[in-house]
Amino acid sequence: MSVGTAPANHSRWRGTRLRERIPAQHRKPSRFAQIAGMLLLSASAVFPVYFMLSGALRSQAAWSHSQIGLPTTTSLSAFKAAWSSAQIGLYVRNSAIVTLGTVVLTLVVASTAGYAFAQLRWRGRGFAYLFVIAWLAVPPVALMVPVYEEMNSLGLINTYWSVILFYTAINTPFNVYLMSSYLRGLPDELMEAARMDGARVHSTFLRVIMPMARPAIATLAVFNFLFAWNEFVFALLLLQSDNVKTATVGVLQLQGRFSVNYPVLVAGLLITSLPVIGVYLFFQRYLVRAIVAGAVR
Amino acid sequence: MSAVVESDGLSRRPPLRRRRARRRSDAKWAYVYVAPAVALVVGFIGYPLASVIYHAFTTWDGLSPPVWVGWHNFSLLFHDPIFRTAIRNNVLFAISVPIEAIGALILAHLIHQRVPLWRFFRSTFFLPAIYSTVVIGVIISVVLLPQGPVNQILGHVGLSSLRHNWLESSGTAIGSIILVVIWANIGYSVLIYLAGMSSLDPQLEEAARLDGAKFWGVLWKVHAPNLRRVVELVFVINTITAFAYMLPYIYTITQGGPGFSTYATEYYIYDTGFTGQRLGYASAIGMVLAVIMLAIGAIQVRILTRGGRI
Amino acid sequence: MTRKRGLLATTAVLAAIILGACGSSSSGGSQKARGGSHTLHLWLGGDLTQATHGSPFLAWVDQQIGRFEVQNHGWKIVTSLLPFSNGANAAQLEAAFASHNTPDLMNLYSGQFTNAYTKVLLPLTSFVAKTPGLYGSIPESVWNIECTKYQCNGGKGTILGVPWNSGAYYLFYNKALLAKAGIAQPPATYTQLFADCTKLRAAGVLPLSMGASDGYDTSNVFTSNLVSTLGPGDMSAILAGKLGYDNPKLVAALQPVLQLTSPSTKCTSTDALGQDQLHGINAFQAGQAAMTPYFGLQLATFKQALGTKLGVAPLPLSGSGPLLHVNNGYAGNPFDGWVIPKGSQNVAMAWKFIQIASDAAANRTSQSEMGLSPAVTSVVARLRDPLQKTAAKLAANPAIPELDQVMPGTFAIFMYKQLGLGQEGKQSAEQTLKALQQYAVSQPKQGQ
Repeated sequence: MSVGTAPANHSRWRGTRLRERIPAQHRKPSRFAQIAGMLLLSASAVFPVYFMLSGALRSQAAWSHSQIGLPTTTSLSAFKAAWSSAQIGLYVRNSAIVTLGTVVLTLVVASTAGYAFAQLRWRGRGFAYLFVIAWLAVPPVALMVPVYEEMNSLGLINTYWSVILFYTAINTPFNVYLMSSYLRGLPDELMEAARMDGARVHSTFLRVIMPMARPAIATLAVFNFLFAWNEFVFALLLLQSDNVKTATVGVLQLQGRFSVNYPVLVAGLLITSLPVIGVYLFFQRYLVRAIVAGAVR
Repeated sequence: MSAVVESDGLSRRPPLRRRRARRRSDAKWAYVYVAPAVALVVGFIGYPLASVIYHAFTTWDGLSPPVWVGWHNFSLLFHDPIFRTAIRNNVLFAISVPIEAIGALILAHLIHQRVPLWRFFRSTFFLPAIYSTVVIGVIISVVLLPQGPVNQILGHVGLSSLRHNWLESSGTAIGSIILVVIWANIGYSVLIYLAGMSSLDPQLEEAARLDGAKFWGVLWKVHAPNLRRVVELVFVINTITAFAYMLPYIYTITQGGPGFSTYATEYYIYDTGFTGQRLGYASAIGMVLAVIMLAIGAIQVRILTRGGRI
Repeated sequence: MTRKRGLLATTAVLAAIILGACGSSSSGGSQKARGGSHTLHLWLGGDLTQATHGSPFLAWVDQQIGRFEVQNHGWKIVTSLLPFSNGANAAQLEAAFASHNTPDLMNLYSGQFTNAYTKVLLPLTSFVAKTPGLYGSIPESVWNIECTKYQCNGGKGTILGVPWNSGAYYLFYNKALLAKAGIAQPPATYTQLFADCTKLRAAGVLPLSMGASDGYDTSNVFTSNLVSTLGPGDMSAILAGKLGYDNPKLVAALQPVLQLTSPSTKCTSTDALGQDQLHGINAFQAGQAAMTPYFGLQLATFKQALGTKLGVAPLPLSGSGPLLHVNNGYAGNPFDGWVIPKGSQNVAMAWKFIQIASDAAANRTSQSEMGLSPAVTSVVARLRDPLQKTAAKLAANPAIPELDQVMPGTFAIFMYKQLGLGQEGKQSAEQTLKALQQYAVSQPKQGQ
């Protein structure tokens, strides 16, 4: 059977009944090695948080002696220094605006286009679809200078819109692909039924398609949230003044060219990472479920 | 639209005449619905790309007007040893894709089998994808210092012979970057596989088990073949990363060093274009990279659209 | 149900933030929207990329802005930090120049930056000429790097920037550790240095800590050593392409530097190869290594770590060429300078700020607060602290500029990488410089 065309069954993946019945000997080979390996990977995944936390709680002298180990101070001075000298509160706010703006615009663009490609019938649809997703092949770094010039002539340098528009555009091919292929997997009967009930193009979109597309929407939200929060090169180029700088760019100001106070730098990095880690832990259950239900439709 | 409203409700599909009417009205709105996406890609990818293509045939320092030089940049590129290194490294990154894709498949399979702590694994494996590349870069460049944590730990556990200047020999530097990229992205792939596995019919697995298939048997005979499309998707996403999203890792971990050994095409564009102020040459490299990506893209578009109705 | 409510709440928050974003982005204001308002836009590059909140650099900038605003009523200065990394810095400048979106004035790395941006910077020659005492207050050897062809000719050359500081690379040493091996003076020549390395090793002390992976340490130690091997006029000949980068005088200056990390001299631990310039100072700062090469910027931090044990001296030199008797006989140049882009909308006011930032009052605190040697001669003479005095004098009136600051930027970046490979022992001094020369002749002429 093909995964791509299987109808959605949101309850199926949640079931654990089958796996619980797996006899113990089928859980081989060498359960111990498996768990140990996975624990090692998990530990490495958590390590950066430990590293930043313990680093921020070490004095600079202790740091130059060894970069990991137990904290040597309970003083929060590194955090205070990072907070005041990198204005991290301001930068985190800017990142939040850019990220959420990108996510919302992305969802609008991808879901409207996905709907048109997957559910509406019109001339030139196949060509238009290829036209939109073919831009996947363009490496963003090649576009730096022309994009800067373009944003400058639009008067958007140092405005959130510059990066929001660019981030949305550069990921549009992938987002549209993901959304269309998800919507294409929805059963035709739904559309027809909506038609029967007299729903028009718009109300089908808003009342029938969008609620059904929630898993795909969540997937896109996560992908684009992480992309926009972590993007560095274009944020550096397009958002130069202090009141609009994003966190990834702003926090690196703590890394001097010829001297760097590492405890303060890692404290700054930890502060800028906390919002994303927090969002992930808080929404994790929902996000993981949504991705699991929707990523490959 | 009214045609649909007037449907008599007897037939499950509207009569042919009415369906045509619907299509026409769909068509009108379809253009409106795709307009934002088309406008964005044309405006912020297509237009800048056209500018890059033009400048690929010029020498330009960004300060004075560009000078048309025809194919000169491309013939330079042909003999450029750094460009060759960069392409070689991209290929190395691409070779790491199967390692990640298969590693992730095994991990997903384990989680799908509900090994103890599977929930914990499922959430922590995704964590590296959360950290910004800036955080990863700073941490990795400190962790791999000669007196850094990795070497310290190797010393403590009696493996001093393995201590190494990780980022200072070309072999381990490129290997370190590849490992970091796999580590940072494997969580995505695991999640995508889990999604695929959960949409498979559990009876397939059950049947295989009744036939005596064990751990690997289920993985290779049930999951791998039935998840072909998912596996392809994971390959595509990671191949794109290997060619077009390596810049932040190289920038923060090695800056291309030692020597030029960890340059990738993308980093070379950045380096020549900005640090070196040779925007014409950088545009030419950009064009070559775009062509390579287009070739990969063509394959990938075929994969992505196969089985779909378009 | 909770899921649904969560979604609703999230959507509401998103919407609120987006609305907020639109509001504040329109008030964020682009560089263009400055007509009529009395605002001067200043970009901080070079060492001032470190002018983050709470730093002595920003304190210094704020002080000068305060002086400017008192003298020029109704004018305000808005600053933007440029990124510290060479590549990102260049990217931002290049994008700005390419789209004519430049500020009224900037502080930039000298040499390769004023050199690369000659076409888009306003010549300041006439401004300097009209400002009594300015040209004479700074040694000509410090001015030179700010002029086209690196020749200011008594103020008649084309001046593109006003030096903000003078700079050099030094040998920092730990008196206590040297004494432990019975060494009274820091080494002045490489022969002495290698002998000292043996003595220090015998005493169980790590002689030298440095970072070789990025090639910056190697480059600075090598270009400082050029003062002992080059002859008068050689520097200009190199820059004009008449003397190859692989000529014997350069090879002679590089050879002993590459030996620092070779196992035969025992000067450094193997760690030196795997760390960059920034981490190269760690062992010295921790009191474990007897010597380290570095900028004066770190003087205050070293002093804090090592107290009275700290000493500063010129780097060892290998040759005995004639330049040792020119000026102060050392290599150095200002790290940063003030420049005005051609697109500046307030040239007169920008010049007023430069005058304030370059006077003796502004220079007085640069050594003690920021570790930057002052450019103004009268301030150098008045320094009291012996370490600061030594550092400032070595930077004050250099015989030659540091090569990497004046050669084309692309060449310098290529050279750092090659030097890194040389320091690792992967190629000889001769091979390293041959590679640089081959690269140099293969490149199109700058400014084509």
